[in-house]
Amino acid sequence: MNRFWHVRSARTATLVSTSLVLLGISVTALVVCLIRLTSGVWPGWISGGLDAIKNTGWDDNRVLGSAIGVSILGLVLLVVALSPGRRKTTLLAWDSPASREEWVLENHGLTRLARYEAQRTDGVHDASPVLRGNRMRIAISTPVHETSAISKAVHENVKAALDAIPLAQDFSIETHTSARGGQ
Amino acid sequence: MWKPNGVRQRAVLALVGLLLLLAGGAIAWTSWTSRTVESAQGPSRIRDSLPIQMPELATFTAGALAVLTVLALLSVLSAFPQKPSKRTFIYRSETGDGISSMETETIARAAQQAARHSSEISDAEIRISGKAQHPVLYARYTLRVESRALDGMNLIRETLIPDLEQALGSQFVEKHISIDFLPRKAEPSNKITLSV
Repeated sequence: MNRFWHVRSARTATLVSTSLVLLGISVTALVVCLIRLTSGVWPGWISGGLDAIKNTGWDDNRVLGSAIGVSILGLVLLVVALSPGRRKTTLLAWDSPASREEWVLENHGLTRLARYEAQRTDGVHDASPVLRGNRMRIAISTPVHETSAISKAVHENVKAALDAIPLAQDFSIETHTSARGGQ
Repeated sequence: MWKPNGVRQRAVLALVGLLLLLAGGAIAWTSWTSRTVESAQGPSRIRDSLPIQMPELATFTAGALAVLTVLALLSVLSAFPQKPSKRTFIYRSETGDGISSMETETIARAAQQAARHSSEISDAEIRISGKAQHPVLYARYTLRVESRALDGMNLIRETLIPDLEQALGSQFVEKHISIDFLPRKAEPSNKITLSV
């Protein structure tokens, strides 16, 4: 079964931005060449630049620097293309490739659920959960000075909410509480 | 429900990266080695290394740039994600005297409406693809975060999808289900304010 939801990043933004830059450069160069072919002279807006680089030698520092820059850009694109990338979903226990059923939970949905459960805990002013792999880190702000009880309550509420969902993996929950506001 | 072709996009990106790396590396190597040769043979200009006196060079260059333009444009267009295609299922009677067709989009829309009427589900997006005898389900359900998540998920698995299969007249050979939660800021269940 080919998965539809539980896939790694396709690097769409990187590819589109790179392709648009290359498209812009190639179209501009093509227009310049066509003007040169049809009229016999280079366009005025580029002839100044051409005169400046006419006598540039291979040993020019600008040539070496530009070439190194292009190489680094190429290396970055290669690494981005070959590195695995994160998944945006978490498998549910109901997921079964043998039965050809794919059941996933969106990661941002999971953080929304954790945020809701944390915010409805007594004494919590705001909560910001962040999911990294199988770790959920929740930053809590509270006006209460004794933060240990708040932190423990949030941890229990979020854990209970996650345990109620048939997830295929367990998540560890970390809470970091800061006292803000209050009197 | 938009999904790009990840393998193709990564292959194109890797190819572009490799070409840039090789081109930049070749020019950097030439520039670097020309510094050591310079003292013996004198500095050389880049234009002296190119066959610019060749009259066809401009035509070849224009042709190469046109090809690069088309490839870059195809790369941008192919990066657009797509949804699973809608289907028209055609059913033929066993006796051969009747043919009926069914637009899967109609059934999917009805299933979406039915899902949205439940208290646990805020939104549903359903697409039925595949063939009449082998239908494939692609669905995303957004649950209300304030309701019990397991109730909503059981409703989807044990009621909504079986009802959909019953309406379709056959079981799905593949199911791709995604669950999401609608964001909502929670009010603390018991708020106590003390003022001194």
